[in-house]
This record gives sequence, C-alpha cells and structure tokens, in this order.
Amino acid sequence: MKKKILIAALVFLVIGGGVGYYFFNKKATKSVTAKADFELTSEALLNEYGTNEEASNKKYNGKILQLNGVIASFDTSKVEKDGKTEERISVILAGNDDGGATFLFEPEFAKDLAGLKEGDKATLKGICTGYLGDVELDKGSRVQ
Amino acid sequence: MKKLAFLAVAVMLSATAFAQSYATKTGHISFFSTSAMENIQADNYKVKSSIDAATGEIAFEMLIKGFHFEKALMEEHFNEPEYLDSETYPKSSFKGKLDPSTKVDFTKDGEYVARVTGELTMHGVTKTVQAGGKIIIKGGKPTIKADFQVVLKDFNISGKAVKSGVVSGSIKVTVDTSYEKK
Repeated sequence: MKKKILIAALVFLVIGGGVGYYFFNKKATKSVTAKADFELTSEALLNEYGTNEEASNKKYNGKILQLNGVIASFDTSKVEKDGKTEERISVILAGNDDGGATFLFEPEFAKDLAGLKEGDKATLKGICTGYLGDVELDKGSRVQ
Repeated sequence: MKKLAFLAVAVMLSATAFAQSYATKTGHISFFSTSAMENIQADNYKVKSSIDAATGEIAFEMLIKGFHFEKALMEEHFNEPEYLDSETYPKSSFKGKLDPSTKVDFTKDGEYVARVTGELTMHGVTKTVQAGGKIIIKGGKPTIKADFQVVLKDFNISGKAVKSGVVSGSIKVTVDTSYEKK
C-alpha cells in the first residue's frame, strides 16, 4: 500500500514539475494567431480613443484587436543585435486626423506584408499595448 | 544702417534654418537585469522620441506593454500589479536636455560624446536621471546611443522577487534610437 502511494506521489511530482517547466520556459508569441477579442475598423477605433482615452485604454489594453482599414504608411526600424541587423516593419492603418493604428511586425513575419502598399485596404491583427497619439499594436499578423 | 539690419535678419534666418527638429516613432530601448536563475532582457521597438537641436531638449515616451521578453511568463509578471503595474501606469517617459558641456553639430556627420539630464517617469514616480553616451550624426540624421542605471526601489517597484533579491534591484537601460528630420 505504502509503495503505491509513494509511486503515485512521484508521478504527480514529475507531472507537476513538467507542467511547471513548460510554463516557465514557454516562449512569448511573436505574431498573434488567436481569435481577436474585438473586430472593428481602424477609423472607429481611433475615434473611440479620441472621445475617451481612459475608457478605451481599459477596454482595449492587452486585448487582441483585428482592424481593417487603409494603409496610411510604413515605418521601418533597423536594430543592431549581436552583430546582426534586425529589421522591423510598422504598418499604420489610417484612423483620423489625430493618428492611426500602428502594427509592429517581427522580422520573421515581415514577409506576410509582401505586396501591400500605401492606399491598400488591409485587415491586421495585434495585441493592443496602449495609446501614444496612435493606437499601438504589437505582435502583428496579417489576416487579409 | 540698412545693410546692418539686412545682415542681422539674414543671420537670424540662417540660425533658424539650422534649428532642426528630429523625431521617431520606432525608437529602440532595452533593459537588462539579472536574477538568481536567468538573465532578464526586454526590448521596446516603438519608442516615441524627439530632439530639438536648437534647445538640446530630448523627450522619450513609451508603453510599458511595448516591452517584450523571450519568455511569456516573464512578460506576464513584468506587467502585473506587483511589478510595473502597466494597467495603472501604461506609459513611461523622459524629458531632458543635453548638458551644457555637450557640443553637437547636428549639421556635421560624426560622433559626439553626450550627457543628458532629465526627469524619468515610471510607475507613477518621477526622478531626475543622468545618462551618458553618444550622438552619431550620419547623413544629417542623428542616432542616440546611451545607457543608464535604474534602481527599482527608487520607482516603488518592489515586488517579492525584487525585495528578496532574487531579481537584481538595479537594471541597465540602453537607448539605441535613430531619428528622421521632422
């Protein structure tokens, strides 16, 4: 009987340890693939922030947003890391006169933006990190 | 007399022509710290910043949620109420000015040693910080490379791991930001 309990306890420890190890080392997502918490146009989103920034922050911060809108511009940032140059593309979907919605794409997902140019309509997904005049979204992915 | 007035206006106009402003929305700021088990490193690639060449004023603004880590759990902890509490304090900012000793010719390509003093606001606390580094002018565009230490306790960041010393109480913040002419 004692042996059975001991074996059961050991099994639980190993499973628990395994699960713990998995979560401890789980890599952060670099491009959101999960279903969006909110789907709307970039214009509507910017208007909401323009009306009430605090309420919008509470509603959208940390959430996955899927926005469709017109591409206003692209911004590229080059960063030197461990001797290599990493290039990150930010896509800005038009909002209103105050700003737009900026999606940051990690280097390995830049290819998803191939073929897109200013003036094109696009549907992009990302995690909302906040508002700095533009609504900022990271871990960008292209839906359409 | 007329010639002098004309000359004065010409000089003033040329001075303002050189008083260029620079800005970016994709600045890079990272931080590095150590803990008992592993290194803590995060990068923010969407820092908003501006330089006023005429006054030497430099400003930075960034979102705490914009700092990204390799490991999901670390990023989660970082944003929790116990640490940076990004729900309550979503932004961090710096407003400063180049020290009088720093001489940068924004119109001439080269590397210039620079020191800046200003107010860093983080986690609801504002403190004066000094940073040293260099301003590199290339093709008429500046890049700031600088670093400074931040003592977490100074900004009321004292979650369990910091208090117990598991996570180092001091972090190194590195700025590597390139600007476009405004």
